[in-house]
Amino acid sequence: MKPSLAATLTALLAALFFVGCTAVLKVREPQNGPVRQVELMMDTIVSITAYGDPKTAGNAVEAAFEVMRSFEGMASFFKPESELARWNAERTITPTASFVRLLQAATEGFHRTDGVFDPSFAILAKAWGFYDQQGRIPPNDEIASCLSMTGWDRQILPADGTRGPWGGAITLATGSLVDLGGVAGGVAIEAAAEAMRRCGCTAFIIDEGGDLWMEGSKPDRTPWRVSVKDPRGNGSLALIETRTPLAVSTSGDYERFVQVDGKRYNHIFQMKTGRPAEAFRSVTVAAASPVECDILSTSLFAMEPEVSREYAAKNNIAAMMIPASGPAWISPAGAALFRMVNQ
Amino acid sequence: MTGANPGRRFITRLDGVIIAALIACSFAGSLVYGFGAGRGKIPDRLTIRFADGNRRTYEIRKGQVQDIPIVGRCGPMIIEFDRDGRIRIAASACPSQNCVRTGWVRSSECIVCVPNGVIVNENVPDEAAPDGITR
Repeated sequence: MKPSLAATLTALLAALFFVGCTAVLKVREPQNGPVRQVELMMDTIVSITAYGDPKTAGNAVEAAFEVMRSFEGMASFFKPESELARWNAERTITPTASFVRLLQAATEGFHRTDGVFDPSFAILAKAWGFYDQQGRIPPNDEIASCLSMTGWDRQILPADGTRGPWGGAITLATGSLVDLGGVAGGVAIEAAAEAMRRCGCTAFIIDEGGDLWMEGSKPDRTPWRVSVKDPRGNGSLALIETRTPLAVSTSGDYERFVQVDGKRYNHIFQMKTGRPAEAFRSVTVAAASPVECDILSTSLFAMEPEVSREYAAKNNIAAMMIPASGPAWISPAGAALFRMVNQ
Repeated sequence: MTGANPGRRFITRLDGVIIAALIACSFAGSLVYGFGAGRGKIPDRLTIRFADGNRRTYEIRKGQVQDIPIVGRCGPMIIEFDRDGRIRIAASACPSQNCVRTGWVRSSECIVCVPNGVIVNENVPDEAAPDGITR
């Protein structure tokens, strides 16, 4: 017995209906996460988003936060029990292996930027009232006195008087103070990413107060999208899209600052003058390593505009600079990466 | 024309009813699953996490302006929800005021006051938002 044309059509429509609904349901299936966790730590907000098998992603996020917490406990300027705070207070310590990792990163940053990046700026930040948030403008002689206590290579000495690697005890020169905030975030991100990989997670983004690291491929195969915040507005100034692992970091004058007589002074210092850098509103850098990114965004921000642009161009750094006045500037290496959206 | 039955109709009335019902069902399926997908939906609730780890959930009255007063580490804050489904931290006792300067965001976006230890929408996925914001 042959089926009628109507019956054939009915069966076809039923099949189409079934296939259509299944396809739609598949698109909406939440089987690949993401798993996302947000924590307030390291004096900022840290969020980690991981894709893939939910159990693997969950374990990876947990492991990453564990690592971030350990760095917070080690490098906090304010927590008296942290390794850094003990060093600042007791002057001589024998650093742990993780702390040595921070010190090495800081040393590399110092040498790479000819001292523009210098964690011994802390004595200046203290004088300017950043740590107690009671902003003040120190007199010139006080600034000069502070400057005599800066210089990463002069202030950190092996306790036994030898000039060896970080193997033994280290002493901080009299009067000087160290703040590893410029490098701790990048090192912590790097270590957290290592922990996530060890857990088997292959696609994730770590966001430490706007300093980002992303790697792997999202389930929908779309590129990672990063918005660069407009330093004077709520919107986005530029977009970055990438399918390759990338770190993005911004140093700006608008999140951490003190106000004196109605004028804002941001937290990044020019180590030659002992005064907060004022040439830029923000500098964003994209690089292959979160530590490098962290150090370079801070350093380019602290340099004079012409020097900063020349340094970025000469060293093939992908950077976008928003000066205090004048148009945005994108380095040659950044031209293919930053897409302006708001101008 | 062998085998054809001149008395038989090509599609019976019952066939027509079934086909119409199936087409209607297909469209209903699309409406439910297809056309709605990807649209930014205004959530029914707002979850706020405090510095001590506690979370509180607040009902959102859609289409209405709504102020949600809370107290963070530094003091009182007001989370404001507007008719268009956006949120902002309208006032905060924190020293930096960064959270207030953030301004309006979509109600599904995360908004934070670090000094106050307050996170609004910590785990709401927002498909339209970028993966990260560098600032």
